[in-house]
Amino acid sequence: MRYLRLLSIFYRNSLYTEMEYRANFIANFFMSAFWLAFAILGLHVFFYHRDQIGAWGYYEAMLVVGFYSLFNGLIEALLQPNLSRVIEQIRMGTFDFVLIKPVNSQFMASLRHLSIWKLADVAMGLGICVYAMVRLGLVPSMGDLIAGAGFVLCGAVILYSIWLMMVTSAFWFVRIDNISELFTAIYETGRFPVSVYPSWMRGVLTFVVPIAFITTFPAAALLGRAKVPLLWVALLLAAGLFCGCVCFWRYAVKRYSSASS
Amino acid sequence: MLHKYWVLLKVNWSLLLEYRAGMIIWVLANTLPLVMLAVWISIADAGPVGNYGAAEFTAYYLALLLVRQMTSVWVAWELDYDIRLGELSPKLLRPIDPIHNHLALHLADKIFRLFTVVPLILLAAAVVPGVAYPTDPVTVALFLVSTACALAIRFMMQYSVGLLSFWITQSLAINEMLYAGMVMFGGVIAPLELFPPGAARLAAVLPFRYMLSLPVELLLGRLAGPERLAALGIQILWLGVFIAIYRLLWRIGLKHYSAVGA
Repeated sequence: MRYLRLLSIFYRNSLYTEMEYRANFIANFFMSAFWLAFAILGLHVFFYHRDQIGAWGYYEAMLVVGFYSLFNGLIEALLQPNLSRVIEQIRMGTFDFVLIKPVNSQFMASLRHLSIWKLADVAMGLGICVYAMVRLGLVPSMGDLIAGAGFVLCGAVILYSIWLMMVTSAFWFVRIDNISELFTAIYETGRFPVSVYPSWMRGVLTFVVPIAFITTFPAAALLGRAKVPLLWVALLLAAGLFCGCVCFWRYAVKRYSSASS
Repeated sequence: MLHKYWVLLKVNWSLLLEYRAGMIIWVLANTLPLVMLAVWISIADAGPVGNYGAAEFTAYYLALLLVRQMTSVWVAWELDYDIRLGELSPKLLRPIDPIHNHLALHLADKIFRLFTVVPLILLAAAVVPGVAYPTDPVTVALFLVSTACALAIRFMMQYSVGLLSFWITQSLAINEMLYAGMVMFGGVIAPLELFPPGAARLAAVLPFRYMLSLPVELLLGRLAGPERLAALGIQILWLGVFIAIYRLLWRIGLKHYSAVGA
């Protein structure tokens, strides 16, 4: 409860700060629109030559694009700004101030800031999902909706955990500003349903860097194609990764010895 | 002038080697063409797409990767930083236009890549079965000229966008939009030949093809004789346009510029 109240204070604070840069909203809006146009033009080219790719139809694949955009917005609004700040703080030694606050340090370090305007991507992603569902004439059953929501939630937790582990590695490799670039490069694969990739890549994207759980499976769930056991796997994976990142964080914080000491 | 460039190159070369770890990550992160290659190979599994089979796609995307490595530009970020924080002022005091230093850094980076990433790509091209490039001198020469032009266009375009920081704070957002344009119409998502006709016609007019895709098309021998010259002509035209824009923005921008804290 206390943490929820803190979150609302954090984000109100971020909102006030960002209100000063309203032009950013327009810029971000256009940027999301451009990247979305890119993903959709890509689909167009595929479907100009084929009726189906990896057993997905045009509007079905568009659902995946929608989820890609949604999670991309979450990365840019929530994960990226906190990541760059933590890395900066570790380098400068100001991370001490995070540690002395009477709040869980992981909570403080990973959820403190929010770039509100980047949420434009989330809105557009949802919009695309709704549009694709309308064009498909798809009315998901209650069960499919719940499964879809479950996958989205798991996807968010998985994404958060992977990012936090990347941030945590900054305790050892201080100068790792662009480690997030590497992850973004892998995340690019999430634009398309995982079944369009060759089988070895499908394996990697499902079990090693579980991008499939983030963008493909929520869409599959809405289409009624994800089986119940898969949801259990997603839940287990999310829980496992989350515990993993918490342990890793605690271990790193325990070893942390500030800058210049 | 040549001597000055030699000095600038040497300085920037040592600068570059300072940050090689970061460089390597930047190079590795450049994977979108490989992702698209994987998708296309898996689509071509059920039969060739247009006149592209798996081998043609591999040849195309390896060449694209090479051109992309040799034409990467980030001068917009540097200019944005310099202008916003007033770091441009000391640079203006030097007896040489700042653009030469930026250009030298980019050229040094290209030399670095020539010895690190390019051999890797060539090795991949040699190892993957079915991938072969024409080796006649005309094709190779056209490829080299066109790649150099592509680098020049990207550099001048980003320099112009970076100069917009004299007036606005969002120049990097504009830069990202243009980058998205290049991904769309520069041949990254698909070879432009495979675009639906309307989109293909649009791509032939926009500058993006001439920043990335054209050298690849030339290398693969996808264009007939007269078409090649026409395309090169358009490429040089776009280069001229961006040089003109740069000159104009630089001239009026400098008058407008008053540094932070001045």
